[in-house]
Amino acid sequence: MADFPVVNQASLPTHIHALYSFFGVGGESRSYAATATPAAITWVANTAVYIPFQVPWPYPVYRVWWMNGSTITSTNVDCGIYSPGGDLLYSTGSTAASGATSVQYVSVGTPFTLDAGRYYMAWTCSNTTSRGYGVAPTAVQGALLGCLSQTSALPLPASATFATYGAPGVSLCGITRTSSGF
Amino acid sequence: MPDFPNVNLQPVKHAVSSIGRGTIIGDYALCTNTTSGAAVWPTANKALFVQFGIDFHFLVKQIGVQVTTQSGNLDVGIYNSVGVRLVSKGTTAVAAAGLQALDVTDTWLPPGLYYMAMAVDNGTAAFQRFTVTTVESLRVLGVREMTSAFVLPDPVTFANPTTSAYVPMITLTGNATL
Repeated sequence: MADFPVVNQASLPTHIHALYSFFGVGGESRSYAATATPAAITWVANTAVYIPFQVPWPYPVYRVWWMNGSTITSTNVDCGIYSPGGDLLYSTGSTAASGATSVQYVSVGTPFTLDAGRYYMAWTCSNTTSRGYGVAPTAVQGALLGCLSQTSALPLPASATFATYGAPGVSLCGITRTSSGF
Repeated sequence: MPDFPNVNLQPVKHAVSSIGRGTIIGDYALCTNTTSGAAVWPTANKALFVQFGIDFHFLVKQIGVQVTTQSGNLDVGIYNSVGVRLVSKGTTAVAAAGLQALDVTDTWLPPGLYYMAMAVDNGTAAFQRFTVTTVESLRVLGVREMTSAFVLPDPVTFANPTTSAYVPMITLTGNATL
């Protein structure tokens, strides 16, 4: 007999988006004309964007994923998850981008479960022209979405120093409870 | 028996849509302010699958699509998360433009993750569909495909869409009338 609410994990979405999801900033981004369909973004090297998202139930994380830009030569990416207070919970480490305008998955070493709650998805890369992929709100729009950023953040730091949003974009990235496929 | 209510992911619904809440692609559609449009079926005999999740028991009686150009035959159905077919209509002539309601064997879906499926045997028929800018992104939006899949096979071998960003608009309902 369960003393606590039971969540049927089989019905959880396979992917959680930090951007295009009501679990992330998707609901708010709908209000801004600039935050429409995603595209390649010219990034600012080593600048991290922190995108707030939440899961209303425990969510098992097997892989993180992001969409690469249309150019990936000489590009490393770091993608991770932070607590609301800025503690790094997981990161891929500096990882060579693979597959232009393609989804890239990285398996976490040991799958873990995010407790129900709020987090930040973080994304940064080492290069610039068309390396990112997502949407590019204005600085004010990005801030009002709850996004934050940090310069000189590759690899992602163990403790984030959140700054007012000044990243070039909000990346298409997220987590998945699948260990393979897709 | 739990002492507390099951956590609901969504309200109990009368109809479940391929781009409604409960689908990843549905959230994307809302967030990008993208509307649907008519387009011809991308490839003859290709089947497309749209992931959806429910946390309530749902009885499916009818499956509906919107035809915009009549041609050939279609098949619609529902699969579980690992590609086992739960129900399908079988080959059916595509109706004249407008709503096509397909009566399927009444099927109870317990809470879980599923795919609603559609296949068409020609590349002339057209339907109302949703689309995305980059077909590659469908991999993380819960859309899968299988070629040479008419009639809908059992089981299915899911593949990632690679050539066409076509997301069929499908509705499941527990009403006898759609």
